[in-house]
Amino acid sequence: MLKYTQLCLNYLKSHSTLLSHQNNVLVQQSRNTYILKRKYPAPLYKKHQRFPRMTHKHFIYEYVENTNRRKQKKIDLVLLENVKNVGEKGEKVSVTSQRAYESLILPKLAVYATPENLKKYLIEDEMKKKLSLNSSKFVTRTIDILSQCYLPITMSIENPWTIEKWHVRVAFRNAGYIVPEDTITLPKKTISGPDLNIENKEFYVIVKINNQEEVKVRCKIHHYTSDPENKVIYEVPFYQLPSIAIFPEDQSILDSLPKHPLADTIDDDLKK
Amino acid sequence: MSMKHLGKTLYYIPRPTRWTKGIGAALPEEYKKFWKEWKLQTPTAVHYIEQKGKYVKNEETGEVRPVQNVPLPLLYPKEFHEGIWGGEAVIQGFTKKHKYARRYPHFWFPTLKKSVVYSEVLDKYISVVVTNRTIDLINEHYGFDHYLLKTPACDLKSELALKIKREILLSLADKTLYPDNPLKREEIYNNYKEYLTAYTRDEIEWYGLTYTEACQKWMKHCAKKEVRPLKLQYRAELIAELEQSQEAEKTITKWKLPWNPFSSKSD
Repeated sequence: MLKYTQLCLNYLKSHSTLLSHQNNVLVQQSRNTYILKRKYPAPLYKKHQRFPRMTHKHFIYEYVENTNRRKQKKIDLVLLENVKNVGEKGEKVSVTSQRAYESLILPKLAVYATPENLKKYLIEDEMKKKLSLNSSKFVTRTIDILSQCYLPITMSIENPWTIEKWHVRVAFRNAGYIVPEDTITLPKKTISGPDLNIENKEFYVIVKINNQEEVKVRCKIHHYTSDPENKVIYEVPFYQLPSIAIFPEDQSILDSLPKHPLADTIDDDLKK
Repeated sequence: MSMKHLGKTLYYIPRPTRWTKGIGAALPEEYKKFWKEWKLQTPTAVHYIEQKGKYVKNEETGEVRPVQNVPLPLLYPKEFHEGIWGGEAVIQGFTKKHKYARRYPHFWFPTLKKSVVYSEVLDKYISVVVTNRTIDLINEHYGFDHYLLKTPACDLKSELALKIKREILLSLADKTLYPDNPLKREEIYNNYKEYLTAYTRDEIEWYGLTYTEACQKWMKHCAKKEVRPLKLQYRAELIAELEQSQEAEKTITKWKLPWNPFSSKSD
């Protein structure tokens, strides 16, 4: 329960919706909506009477149902804008009632699927949709994960090398992503070493997903040796290290890539 | 009706209430109509399951019994009128877990939460305390304004909801919505104008007021009228009458026959 509360709060904070300025809703005492029935049914009354004669036993109630325990109904909406994890503009979607109201209807991201609204906002042109559609359902997630990743490319400190596609492929595999070589595009300029000047400096490679979507992935060069005396060791976590491009012209692109989720908090702490 | 009840009705003297004398009796019919809709009409069943039909047959014994729905009495606390609870309220009663167990008093409360409602007619976001049922109802009606305008006062119940409904009705009747945007105004007005057919202008004027507010409004309304003594009116009437009669005397012409009865035939 607590975990869920925190999730909700974080969600509200990040979205800065209308609800975010309000007090903590979920700390309130848990109360429920009940449907009850009389344990002893009320007696019948005559035509000229308005109510039956009731005694105390007619106010003994029994629990029938709690409506808050029911599964929530889903309602149909038409989206006015592209909403992440929900759908695209002009699409008809069905979302649970409470979530639809708070996160889509109130910020005017969607309207109810009434006949007039369907006529006005629904985009049914299938060709148009197909063009704008992603190659797969999970592409947005893959893009999110890849663009956030700091890919460490570990190179030798003793033997000379020039970075090739298979180095990047192996680095991806070490990080847990299987990326075929033909999807990787290296920077035009060659990077070679060993060169401690480019230690912990960054460049980016372009990965093509399903031959359609392209993602820029940030790579960091690290020099490695098994000799413990010559090892390069950092005491702070990798996302706290400064990000400097190997080629100065790439700096703006690298800065525009999304950072590690913890990078912001570290910056704030350092400022303090 | 048996003789016993006939006697009761014949000698029945109704109890004096606030509607029988004083300002309450003088209040206009429009307000009394709203009061009936608000306080006397039976609200929809929220906390109990309503039995349908006129008679119900016991499957085992074959006994037929009329269906009489007796609603559970609800409590409306002070906070009720500061939120929109969608027909839910507090229930006071007892629980009894076993045949020989003692009954224990128990209160059943609705789940309240802070949320926001958006009125399209007023173009305003309002922060209110609601229940999940309210939000479900808003979604079923395709919007907050439709929900308020379609639901009778007995189901809205809370003063806040009725005040907002009153504002919406007034702005629709006077067409004061969206003062800067005439295009939008027409569009919104056309969406909601069908609700205006249920009310006259005076009924809207008296809609959504509490008893005290209605009394104050009526007193103000009465104070506006200037009290003029009747003697002034009668004097003016008399003068007008006299003037008329004088003029009539002046205009009377001599009565003249078209022929002379005393002239001889030979003439």
